[in-house]
Amino acid sequence: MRNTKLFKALTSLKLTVTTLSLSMVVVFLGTMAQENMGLKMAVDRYFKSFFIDHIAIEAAWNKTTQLFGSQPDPLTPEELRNAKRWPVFPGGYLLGTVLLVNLLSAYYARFKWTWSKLGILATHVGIVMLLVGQLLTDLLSVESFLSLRVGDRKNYSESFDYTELAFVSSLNSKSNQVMSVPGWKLRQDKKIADPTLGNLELKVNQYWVNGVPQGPRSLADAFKMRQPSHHGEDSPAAMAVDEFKAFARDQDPPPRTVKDLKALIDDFGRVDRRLTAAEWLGIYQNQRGQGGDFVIRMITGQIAEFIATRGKEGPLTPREMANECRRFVEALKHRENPPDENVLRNLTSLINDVAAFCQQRDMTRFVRDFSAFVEDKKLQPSGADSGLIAKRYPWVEESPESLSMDSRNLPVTSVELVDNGKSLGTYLFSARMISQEIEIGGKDTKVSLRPKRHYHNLYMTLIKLQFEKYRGTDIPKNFESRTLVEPSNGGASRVVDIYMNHPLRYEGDTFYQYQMDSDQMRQASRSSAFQVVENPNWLTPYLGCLIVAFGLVYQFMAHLVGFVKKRKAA
Amino acid sequence: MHRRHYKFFNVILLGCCFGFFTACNKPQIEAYGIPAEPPPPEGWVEMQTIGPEKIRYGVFEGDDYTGITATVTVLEGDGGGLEPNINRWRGQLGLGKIEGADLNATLEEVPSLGKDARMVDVNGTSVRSFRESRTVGVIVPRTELTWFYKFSGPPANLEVHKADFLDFIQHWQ
Amino acid sequence: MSQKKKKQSRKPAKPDNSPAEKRENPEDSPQHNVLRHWPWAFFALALLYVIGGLMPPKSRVELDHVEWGKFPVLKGGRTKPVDSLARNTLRKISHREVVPLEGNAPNGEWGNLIELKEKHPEGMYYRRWYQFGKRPKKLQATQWLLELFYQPEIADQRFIFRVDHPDLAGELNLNRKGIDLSGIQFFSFRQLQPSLGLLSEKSGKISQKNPMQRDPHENATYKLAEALHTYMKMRVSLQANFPNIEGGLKDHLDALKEVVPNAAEESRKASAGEEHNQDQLKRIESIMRPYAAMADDSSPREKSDKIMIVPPMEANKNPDDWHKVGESVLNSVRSNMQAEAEDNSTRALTFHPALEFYGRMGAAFTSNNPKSFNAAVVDYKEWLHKNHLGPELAKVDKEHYFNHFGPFGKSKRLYVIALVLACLSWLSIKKGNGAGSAAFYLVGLAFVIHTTGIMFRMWLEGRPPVTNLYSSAIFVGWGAVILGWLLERMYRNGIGSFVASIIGFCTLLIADKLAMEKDTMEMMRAVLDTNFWLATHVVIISLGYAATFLAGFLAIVYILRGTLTKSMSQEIGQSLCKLIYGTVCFATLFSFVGTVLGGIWADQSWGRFWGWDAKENGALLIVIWNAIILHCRWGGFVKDRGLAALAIVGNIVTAWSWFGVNMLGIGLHSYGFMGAAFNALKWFAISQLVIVAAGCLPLQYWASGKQLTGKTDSAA
Repeated sequence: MRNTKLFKALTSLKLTVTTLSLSMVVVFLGTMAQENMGLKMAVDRYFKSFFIDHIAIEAAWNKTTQLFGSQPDPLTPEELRNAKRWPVFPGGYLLGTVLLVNLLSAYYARFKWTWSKLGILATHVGIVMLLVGQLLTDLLSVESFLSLRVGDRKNYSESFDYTELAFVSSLNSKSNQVMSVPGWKLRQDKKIADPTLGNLELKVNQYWVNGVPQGPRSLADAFKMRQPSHHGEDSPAAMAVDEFKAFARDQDPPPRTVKDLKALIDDFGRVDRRLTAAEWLGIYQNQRGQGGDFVIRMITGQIAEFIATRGKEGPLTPREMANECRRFVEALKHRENPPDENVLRNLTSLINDVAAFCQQRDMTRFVRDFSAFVEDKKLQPSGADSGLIAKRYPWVEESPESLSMDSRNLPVTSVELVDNGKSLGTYLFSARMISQEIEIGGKDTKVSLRPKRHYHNLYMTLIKLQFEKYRGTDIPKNFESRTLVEPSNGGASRVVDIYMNHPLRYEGDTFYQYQMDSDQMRQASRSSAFQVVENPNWLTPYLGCLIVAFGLVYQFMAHLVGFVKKRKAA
Repeated sequence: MHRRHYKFFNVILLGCCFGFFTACNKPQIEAYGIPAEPPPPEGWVEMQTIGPEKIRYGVFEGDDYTGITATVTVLEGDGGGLEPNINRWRGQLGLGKIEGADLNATLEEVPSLGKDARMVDVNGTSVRSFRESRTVGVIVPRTELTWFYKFSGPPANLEVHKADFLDFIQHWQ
Repeated sequence: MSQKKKKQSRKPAKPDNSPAEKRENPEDSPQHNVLRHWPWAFFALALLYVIGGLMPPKSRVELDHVEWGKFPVLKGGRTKPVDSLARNTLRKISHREVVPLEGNAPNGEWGNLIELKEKHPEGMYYRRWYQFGKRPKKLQATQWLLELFYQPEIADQRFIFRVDHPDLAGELNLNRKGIDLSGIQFFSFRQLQPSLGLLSEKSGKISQKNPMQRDPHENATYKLAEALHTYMKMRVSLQANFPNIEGGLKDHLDALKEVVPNAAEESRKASAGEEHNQDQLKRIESIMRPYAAMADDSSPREKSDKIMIVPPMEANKNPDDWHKVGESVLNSVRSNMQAEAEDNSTRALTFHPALEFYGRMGAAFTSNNPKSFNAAVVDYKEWLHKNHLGPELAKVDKEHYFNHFGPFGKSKRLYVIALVLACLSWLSIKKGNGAGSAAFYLVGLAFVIHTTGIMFRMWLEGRPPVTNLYSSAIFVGWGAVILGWLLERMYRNGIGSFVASIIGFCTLLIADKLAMEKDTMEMMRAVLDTNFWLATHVVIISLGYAATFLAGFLAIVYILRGTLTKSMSQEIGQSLCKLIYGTVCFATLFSFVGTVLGGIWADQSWGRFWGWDAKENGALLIVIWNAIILHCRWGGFVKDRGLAALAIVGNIVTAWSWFGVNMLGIGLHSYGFMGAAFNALKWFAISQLVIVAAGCLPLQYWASGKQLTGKTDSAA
């Protein structure tokens, strides 16, 4: 065996050098692929795999050529996830294994102990520990996030990468039972039955990796958001949206198909909108915020009264309303003690403003734009028929899958629940919505699609969040959370400050203060986040490093001492 | 001799490969127990929160809304203090500000929630709805935070559900 | 000295050149007795140059702009002297720290640029390198800033805006209309003013684009637009230098003092419909509007980068209470009006004393009255001390002195001279010649100044040496220089000096370029704010970079000297390779330990020892590459030439990890993005590959091939 070609090859330094060279290539390409694939996918496909597929290589190659001036289109998530992938290059795990085998067998074949070799030996032992340690970390460590507003109290953190369809039902007065079906399974399988789930069976109708459930009203809101900001909350278009929402709410039965929806929008365009005096002036109030308050409050009742005395019953069209108001102002002038000149002027300009505003509210334009907007969304029918979400949101708008670490995918799925062979209906679940209560097997069960939760043996409450910036800049200076930690078993609670380099370690979990920049901070609206890591293996790399460092220093000093001695002798 | 070497390699290779392939930290279907959060009283339905509120319930009798809401808000430190908060609640019911001994006279202790917990019970006319309204508020300081429980609605209905509320706040966090 | 002798004692083993050496060795020839000390004389000269720079700065004109430059301002989250503000701004705009006032007309006429410009619309140029007799008058950075603050109409005519791309000048219809400095044109704000709209529109579009994909023209446009933005912002940060606003800060303050106290009364009259002074209210508004504009920080950009000139009152109580001038004026006026409204009184309006002082200085400056200016400067300083800003003043004083001394510029110049001397030392066949010694001394001196500079920075910042890319360039250079200098001390063959000085020079040059972008002492983000890890991980990994570069440059010496000159003997070759090998070992140790410490830092900070982040991967590449070199050597796959070639590739790997990954814009560490610098990196890599290719030539094509093939085999 010692003399076989294979063994020689396995123990040879040539193999070491080749493997190391290949790992240089893998590390380089694995870095380059990160922009297109996102960190996680790049790490999975380059470093946590035996072979690298041709698509992953292409992603890296694209970025590399980009450095030299070409401008290739990045691969889409679908292209990246394409099932047809050919292994073309050794991956991190393969190279790691080969290095390990090469090293161990070389020692097995050639090793003879001398003190002078202690340094090299230690270095190699340390490297083995690092390699194996990294592997164990890959396999055993679990990372999740815990995000809290001041006063929030939670005993769980949420996974960044994984979602789950969770069924929570009461077990007894002290505890609840959670059944969790991972999102990747919903995505992959059409039918899910498992002894863990008991009699419950899931038939997955559809799974959208990233999507938004849409209904008439949510679409109207989205349409409003899309309007240029200078139009604002009180623009005619925005007002039309609000009216449409009210109109859609009253529809019975609600529209089920996109065609229904468009018919609904057209109907809305045809309705003649008349206004009461209060509504009419309310528009102004909406438009001017609190500023118009005073005048409005003063005259609303009076105008209504005035109109009633003129015998105009019921709501009026905006034009009629404006005319009535002008008459009202004229009447005011001829009163015994007419109001101040200024007030009258204000009032007239107010009426003109509202009238102009109402005339701008051209509904045909809204109907046309909104229809086009809905058309653009390429809505897909959700296929669900039961539950509140399915009723409110008959469609799903698919969003592109995000691969970046900075934004998470919010999946939507429509699933038929079958209990003991009997269908409970097809429900729509979305990571954006709160749970729905469904009776399963005689038990009220809260069902929701949510980021995978990891429960801990503690309750954490955020007491205070400190976010300081350097004066006059956006550079974060300090980020610190004051938390109350209560053990679930009823032990003594304590207040813990968590900040950079001062994590909270608790029963194998470590809670690190997550650092946000100013932008993220604004988005998170003053909530603090913690990265929670469970890594039983955290010590291995430390040991490995110590041993390698010792080995290298030993070897280096041995060289140096030898060198100096030689020079002295010469 | 030969055999031994092969064994040696096989063990390493198999060990590595086995490790790589089997132990995968992708989540699987699982069922487990968690501590149960105390359920809200019968008829309490979660509603959309407003402003800094942590949670808001509407109280129903069957399908009918009683007009009562129960909310909890948690604020840093003393949350601005007892006096301004109670006066804010009073203001919502169209009542004037009070302070000092007058204020203390309206307060009731709630020993089960700690020695600093205070309860206030006021009747008035809502400045929003112009209807008669009653507010039962409980202010509980706990570890550098203050919990504001507020139970408000039409006085007649409120009296019926007040016991539920007082019961629930014992473990409502 | 003893080492040199040792070497010579070994020489007789090589019969071909030792007799000549013996004969020509200056130590043996009495007639060189005096001259042989010239290296020391040279060293003394350099020392004088350095000591000259240590003298505290003094203003050469009567107006004491130097003292003015020592006033504290708060920008970028730290107090700094006005001098730093001026230098940073000017560097960003024109890549220089002075503004030359004189130059050449197209006909060769020499004189004041602004005056010449009136006669000659095109084709003017700055001093050419051969115009030794001409010493143009210059504005120091602080003088320029004074002018910008107080006499903007003149500052607007200074030719300070650097336009890198010739097409850009054409696009703005300014071809040949600027002042030329070896192909780069400098324009004045007045010239660029008509193009402001166009430039800001274009830069808005460019900023949407991935910096990697911007072409040089776009880069130049973007840079110019940024420079203009900086300039305009600075222009209105002390006094309301808006168009159509007359008078200086003092005039405005005085006018407000006159009208504001009566304003409450007037506006009450106005609302009551009584007769009132319309003009007075209008006047307040016309003065307040520009100051309100100066105070405005609604744009996120302004919010994140305020220039706060007005120091806190009672700094011992609220040291962070700095304000922008606009804010301070607005606050004073507002609180006065509020107080008056509350009790219906008339109160005198007072402003923050700092504003009064700056106003006085401005009035003195514009009326060309240096005495009164200097008096105001002294008074303000006194007030600052009284107001408990003494510690701040001491701190900015230090920085001011540091700016003035400019240790890195000085050591950079010394490195160049040492480099030339080291090269000269190889031309002469003599061993232990003067040029070599002079180079050795100079590198030593430059290193001492380099070290002083780093220590000074550490003292100023209260931080370990490396806090950002700029300081990492300086520190990597420092590490390489000390190693190279030690090698030179041991071998005294000019190689150590050469390598030390070239790396020292290059890294300082890179640092200079990086300093153009932003403040070099910027504040640390919370994530990085830990002196312990900065002191361990960052320092050690920087030393790893330094050692890898040192090995690479030693290898370059090996290959270039071997291929291009006949000066490389077998002995030199072997000792060089030993050096390379030793340095690679050192580099492996440091880059590995540094990388691992980085992992531990990451584990401490967010529980992830290794996350395959771009920068981590870069560091890993260096470690692996060094490991490859060592294993190749141990396995005998490479001998001397191969080792050298691999070590040179190490330069590329290191440059990539150091700068390249920052340019990708991926990952947590990407703190500095430099799209344009990528070209430089590319050319560096190509040059290294060319040298590697040269090294791969068979030995028979090497100029020193014969000596080298003497005994050793030519494996590679």
